[in-house]
Amino acid sequence: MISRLLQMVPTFLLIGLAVFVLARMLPGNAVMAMLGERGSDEAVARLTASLGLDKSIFAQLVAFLEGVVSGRLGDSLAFRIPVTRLIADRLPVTMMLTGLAVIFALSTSVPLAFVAALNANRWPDLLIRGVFQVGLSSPIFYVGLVMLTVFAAWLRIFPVGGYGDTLGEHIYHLFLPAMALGLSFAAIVMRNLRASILGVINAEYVDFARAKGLRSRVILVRHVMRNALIATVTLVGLEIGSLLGGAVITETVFAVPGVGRLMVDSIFARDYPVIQALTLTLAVFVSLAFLVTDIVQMWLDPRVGR
Amino acid sequence: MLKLKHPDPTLLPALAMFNTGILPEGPYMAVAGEKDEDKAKVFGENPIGTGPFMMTAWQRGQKMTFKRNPHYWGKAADGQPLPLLDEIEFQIIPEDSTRLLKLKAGEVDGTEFVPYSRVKEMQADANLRMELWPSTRVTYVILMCKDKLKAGTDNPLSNKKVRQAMNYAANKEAIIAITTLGLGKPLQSFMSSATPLNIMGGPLYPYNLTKAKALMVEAGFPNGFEAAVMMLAGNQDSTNNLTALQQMWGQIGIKLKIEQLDNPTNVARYRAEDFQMRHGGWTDDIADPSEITSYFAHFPNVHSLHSGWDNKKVSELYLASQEEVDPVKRRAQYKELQEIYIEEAPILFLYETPYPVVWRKNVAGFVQIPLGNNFFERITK
Repeated sequence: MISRLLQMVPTFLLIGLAVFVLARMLPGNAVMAMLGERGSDEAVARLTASLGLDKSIFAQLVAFLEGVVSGRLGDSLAFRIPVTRLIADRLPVTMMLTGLAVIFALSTSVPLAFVAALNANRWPDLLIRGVFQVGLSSPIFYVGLVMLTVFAAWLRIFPVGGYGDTLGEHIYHLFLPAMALGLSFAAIVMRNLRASILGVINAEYVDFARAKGLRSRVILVRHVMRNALIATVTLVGLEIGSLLGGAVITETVFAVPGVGRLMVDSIFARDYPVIQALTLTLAVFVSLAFLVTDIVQMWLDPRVGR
Repeated sequence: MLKLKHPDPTLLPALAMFNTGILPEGPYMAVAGEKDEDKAKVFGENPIGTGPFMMTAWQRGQKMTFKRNPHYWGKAADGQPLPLLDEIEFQIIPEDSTRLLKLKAGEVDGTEFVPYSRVKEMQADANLRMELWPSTRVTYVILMCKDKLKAGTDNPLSNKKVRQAMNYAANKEAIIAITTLGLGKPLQSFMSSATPLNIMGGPLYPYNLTKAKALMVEAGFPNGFEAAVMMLAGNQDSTNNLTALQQMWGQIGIKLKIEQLDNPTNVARYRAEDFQMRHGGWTDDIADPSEITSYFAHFPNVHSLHSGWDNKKVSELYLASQEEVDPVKRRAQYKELQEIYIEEAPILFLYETPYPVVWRKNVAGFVQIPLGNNFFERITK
């Protein structure tokens, strides 16, 4: 476990370096984005110096790495407030959104995968697979707008985007975006888990358990589910990164003030400190998700840890 | 007390601009920070001004809330102190569809930046009131006037006849119908009809393909040429305009290549004068024609929108107008200046458009002036 954690350090450094270089390879800079076309040459020079963008790339890199090590990630060029404050404000929103999306996806896909597998190629299976196929093949942007139009604007069951002020309001506001975000994730998990169950259900150890006279429920929970879930847990861990990517679009459509939207805005504004800090933060979260995946896998299949 | 080097006709409109608000010297100087810039940053967190509302919260990129300023000087016609609302919240919702759905669902009371394609739908909704405020917003395409492009290649657009031909070959009425769904009006100068001292001599370069082709022959380009235009990536209006122009200019042999660039790249190349054409838009900040003229026509400022168009007579007229306090003489200077500009055509003159703002029916009293500034103090709900 400790060696896994130590492996993450060079990973983060490489990610930090890559994003530092890539952000600066984009044409234009924050000054162009902020002053636009009307700013005078003097104003451009003044703002460039004030933002520290007149220093050499190497000096900027050293300052960035020093900041990472000391935990000072600088000020946002566009918002003029500390990056840490900006991220602390927005990150919980995205975490809650992706968390709810995972809960939604798993709570629907896992039971339905069992129903589909146990009724393989019969109508419940075909129906479940058909519905999830629609979810898998529909773009989040479109699904989001349809949901907003039907459930928020027409039926008025949910609000049209936003985030609210209390925990209850946050969950209420994030319900539709989480469903939109979790839909294709649920479809992927359902298809994968269904296939795993079908693979496990015909395994010899299941036949043996059945021959021992174990009840079907015990066989299903102790032998089928536990073994079928191993591949699914890996998939869930890998998909967390995609979910965070999907959050960018979901947050835009549903006007959710999370880090996804912030990342897009920061790229367009060439807000280097925010781009760098956000990439590193998201890298930490994805790495932690992988770590949790490994732990759960070890619990499900002790051979993995050996 | 203001001491000027010369009489300045732009002084009063300049003092009425959005960025000349009055700040309290004592509290401003008392905030932390050595340099003025540092102080402004801290002061901006909890600003004190003289407007109708006071900021109570600001979540960057999300929302701002304001409450009524009880010390505000303004009074309504009936003597009631302004503002009429106790509180106002501004939400930032970049996605057009979401913003309009929020309005339709009654979660917000009004929204600006309504896409032209949605204006009719909003007008037809019994719960909403669509407002189209006169604006100084103009849309055009900058035509590079230098002999050579940045890459060193010859630039046919340096020939005035080519620029005129491109203007004649562009069917502005059709473009207005396609992009603004009829909400725009053809430009009658480089400045809008809401900009003071604008000459209103009717639409410029009415669509005339025969004349356009003849001008291309006269200019020595009977078979046309290849040309490139840059635009802000993802902007639907620019895409519509340029796609229509691609087809229209194709009829005089100009093969148009459209380059979609993100904002910083677009601005960087514009400032570096590294383009042949650029789709552009402008809104005045001041109720005076001097600002737009200094950018569009007075070469020493920004090389006439970085097109390289340099007309000594226009610059002379502009500089003289900056000291001319006789309104009749100043109007005459602006008339001559605009006539030269129109004849020289350093831009493709497209259209001007209003500001579309939509409100719930129960909200009244909003005002938006042609400079784009919003006034909320007389709003009732």
